[in-house]
Amino acid sequence: MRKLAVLICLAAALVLPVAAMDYTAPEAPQEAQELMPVETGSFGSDLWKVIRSAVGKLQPEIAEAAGICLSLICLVMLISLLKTMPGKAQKVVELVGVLAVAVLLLQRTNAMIRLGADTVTELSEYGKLLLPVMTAALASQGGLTASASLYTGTAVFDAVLCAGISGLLLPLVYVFLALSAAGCATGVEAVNKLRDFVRWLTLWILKWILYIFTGYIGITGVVSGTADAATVKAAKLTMAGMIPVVGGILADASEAVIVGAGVMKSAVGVYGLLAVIAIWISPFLKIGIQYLLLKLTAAACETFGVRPVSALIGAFSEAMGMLLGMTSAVCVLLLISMVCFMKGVG
Amino acid sequence: MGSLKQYLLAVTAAAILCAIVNGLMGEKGALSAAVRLLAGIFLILTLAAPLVRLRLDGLEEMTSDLNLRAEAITASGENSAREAMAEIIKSRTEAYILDKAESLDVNLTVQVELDTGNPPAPKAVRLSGNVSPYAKGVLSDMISKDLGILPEDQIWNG
Repeated sequence: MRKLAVLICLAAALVLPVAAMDYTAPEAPQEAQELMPVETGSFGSDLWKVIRSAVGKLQPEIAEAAGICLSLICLVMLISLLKTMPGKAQKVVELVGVLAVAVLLLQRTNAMIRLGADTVTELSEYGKLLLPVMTAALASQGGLTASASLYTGTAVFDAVLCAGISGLLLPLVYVFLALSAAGCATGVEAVNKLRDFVRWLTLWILKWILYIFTGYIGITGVVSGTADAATVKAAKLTMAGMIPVVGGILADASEAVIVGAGVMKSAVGVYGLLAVIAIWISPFLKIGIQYLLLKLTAAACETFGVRPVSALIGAFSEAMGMLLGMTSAVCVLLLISMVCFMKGVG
Repeated sequence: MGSLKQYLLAVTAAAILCAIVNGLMGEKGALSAAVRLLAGIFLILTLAAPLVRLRLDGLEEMTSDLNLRAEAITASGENSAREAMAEIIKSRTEAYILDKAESLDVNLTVQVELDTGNPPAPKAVRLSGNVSPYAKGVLSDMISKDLGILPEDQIWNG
């Protein structure tokens, strides 16, 4: 009976870390939840399930985007037909055509911009819930310096990126569209150059925020990871220098806590990675489909010989490309951060 | 949608106004060159208006007390790890003493107290039960040698 009591005590000791440190990933938003697998297995197969579910829900989007592109092609055919009219009406027809294309695409583009903005906000909000859990789990594992620097870095860059996207880059997409419309309507080279500059600036900002973030994560990962590994090693040496029995108990307890925290951190991290991808993938595919179809439409319209109009359609597709870059940048930032948290100490 | 409409209308209106003014002034003359310059500046200002109204609200709010928040989160993680470790050390130390007591055929109740160090080490023990003086001596000796709990920190009841 006493042996049984001792055994129960020892078994409880193995379970205790789980009870004392309970780290669970925050639930993904409802829409992303629908894409997530009911039970998580291997990361690869779960990721595949998320992608498959997201692609499966794309049908209405493809139909809507294709409908708009067909309308555009019809419109360009009509403009091309009207351009054959004799007299000086050709310039007017082109101008009206540019305006008609802008009006036709405006609502859809605005919906896509709003979708991109919502996705960025949703990703950021989910990151704000997930980061503290990962930070605490990594700190429990002994990565005190690494967890603090990873949390601070990710939070700062996420805040900068999200504030930059909503406050600067999304308005720049509107500026880009306005300049594109003006450039295509008037054919003024200066306006086109300004438009190209706006596009370059947007992508440059996104690229450099990610470069700096990756550099920061890389440097702090090495520095703080080494410091944490040294601290853990020093603690182990201290325990080894104690009375053998008590030192053994302390070392076992420390190992159990580190392993327990590591297991929980990995589980939270895998769920977090899937949740981040699930939040991002649907909007990415929706905007991506629109981007590809508009590119295709622009190429098709080029054959009708109405260059300003096809150039404007191309510009709208480029705006979609900029949106893809923005949503993906936030997603990539969170994914890199999660992977660094999961990598752990040393 | 409203802000986009407003912005596009503003840009279009500015472009039309500039075109009309430039058209009225003609191609030649110092005055027309100055007007063209002013019209260009006006158009650029209209285009850049959203940038002037730019507000990075979330940024300041988010980054204000970030270091404090990071410290609080890591401290909470460290505390949970310490609590978990303390529970394991306590239960394993008690199990160790019970195991030794069992080998001497002694029925004991053991309660170990830990110090506040990191990792927490056993500092005192309360033992209750009927123990012969011989067994008490053996156990007390074992507790001080194996677990580092001094005889004065061993409280025996019964």
